[in-house]
Amino acid sequence: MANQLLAPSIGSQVGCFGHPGLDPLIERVRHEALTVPTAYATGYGEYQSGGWDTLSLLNHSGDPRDVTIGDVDPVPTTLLREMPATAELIRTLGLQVWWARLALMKPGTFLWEHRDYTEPGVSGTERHRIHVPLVTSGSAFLITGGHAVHMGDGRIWRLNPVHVHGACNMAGPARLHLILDCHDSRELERLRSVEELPGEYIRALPEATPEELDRYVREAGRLTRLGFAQQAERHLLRVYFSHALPYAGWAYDMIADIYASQGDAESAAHWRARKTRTLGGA
Amino acid sequence: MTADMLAEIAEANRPEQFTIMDTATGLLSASPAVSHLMVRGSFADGTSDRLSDIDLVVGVREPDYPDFTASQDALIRAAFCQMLPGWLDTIVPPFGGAGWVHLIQHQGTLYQLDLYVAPSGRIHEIQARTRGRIIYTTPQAGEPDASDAERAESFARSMLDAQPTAASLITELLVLAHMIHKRLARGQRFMAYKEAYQFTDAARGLARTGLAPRTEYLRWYHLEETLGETPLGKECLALLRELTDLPAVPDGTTLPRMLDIVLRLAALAGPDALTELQPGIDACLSLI
Repeated sequence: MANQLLAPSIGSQVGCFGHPGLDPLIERVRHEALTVPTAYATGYGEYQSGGWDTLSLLNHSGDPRDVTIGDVDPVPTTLLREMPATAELIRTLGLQVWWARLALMKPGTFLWEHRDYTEPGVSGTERHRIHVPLVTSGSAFLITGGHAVHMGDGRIWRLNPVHVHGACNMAGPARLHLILDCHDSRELERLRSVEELPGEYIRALPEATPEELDRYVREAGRLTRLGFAQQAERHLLRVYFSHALPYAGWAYDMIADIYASQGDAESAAHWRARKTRTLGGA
Repeated sequence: MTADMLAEIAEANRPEQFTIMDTATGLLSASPAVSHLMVRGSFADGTSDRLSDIDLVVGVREPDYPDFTASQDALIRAAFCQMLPGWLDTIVPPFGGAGWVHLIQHQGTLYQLDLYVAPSGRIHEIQARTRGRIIYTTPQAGEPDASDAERAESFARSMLDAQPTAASLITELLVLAHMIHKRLARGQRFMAYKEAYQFTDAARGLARTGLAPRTEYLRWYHLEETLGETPLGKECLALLRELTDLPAVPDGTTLPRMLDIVLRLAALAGPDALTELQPGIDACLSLI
């Protein structure tokens, strides 16, 4: 089933293509990614539950532990110098890559609902993100537009991350992807011309009913009253991963409302500001 | 010097269950609703091994008991890598509260976190019965109001009296499979027998719940007549026959067959629940 059977908005946000001829090289990349890197770096703390760590392969400084992305003239990091097959794959794909990294997502990890490319200096021209799955998990999904997309291995995935999205690895094993941030280019256009979104990788999330939404908010309020504020926040943030929600940022608003209703104006303001930072004008 | 180095080595080899216990106690003791935390079972007895489950009894102030028990699953899901919803424990003895078994993944291994939520006033009695070790008490813990205590225990009884659902039975099957796997690793033949029987009984419960929820017959009575009227029911009966034909004491080759049969049964008797739980089931199967 190709992407014409799915909502066009999803097809424009995410798609994949096969990589005939690249399998042996990707197998070597997988071997390198599993054996060369040591300590991963944690960045983007506000965007995640903890458990999503990265190491840069191409960045501005050459230090793999500089992981806050920006649109730069990239140089290979010391890590990429130890990973010749990975460097070869990046070259072979022929894309205009401005940042490359390995991303490890441990079991039980969530990258909360957010938009990307909001970093200073990353705006304006069209950009896309390429995912090359190296190790995947059956419970790892990209969530966007009310759909869960499993980025299965054996394919290269493109994502337009300026749209609201999230990612999770609910139950493991750990997911490991090579991620390339790149400009739009003729080569990318060529790849996109054969892009598809097969039905086996995507499922629509059930729409949350008003009663279900009320129940989640009540449960979170109860957790907060019992002294489990952080778990209440997570309880609501996770609804994005199981249900299609009425609007972007619903969980952020509900968390702020709960704090406001309990007289905690500071926490309410924090969550409203966080919504603006992570979702921008969504 | 030698003692320090040995202590360092011991710390480096500390069983991971202590990390889970640390997280759980840090989490739970932050709540004003929690009056006591008690470790029971093999960790309290000093007989644990690296497969042992973590048995925690949580004493909850009586006025907060209903809210706390209703929240415990969301709490564990938010704090740990919970594979499946907590299973309401029907194996634990009645202590005046209710217990849940949570399968959680930690450092690539599946662990069982048993959380028994008891009204505060029951804690010392539970301690005496289980030889548990209280690891946390709030200074303010006092005698509960009698009506709050009755309300709390009545709430616990109502949870235990609730009819199992297809989802809870599928979860029970995975929990039991994990337990059987542990028994086999330890060579505990009789416990493996007991849990394998319970596994088969839960499979029977799943077939009844999914296909004949309103039958007046209990357990195994008139199962053929109740289920055998439709092709779907006949298929479920055939799977139950396949399951009951397996050796009563499972071994390393029997357990995968048991799981295969019950997952086929779940696809027939509880397809929606199976779909909902599938990612967690797949992850559990990769770890059992």
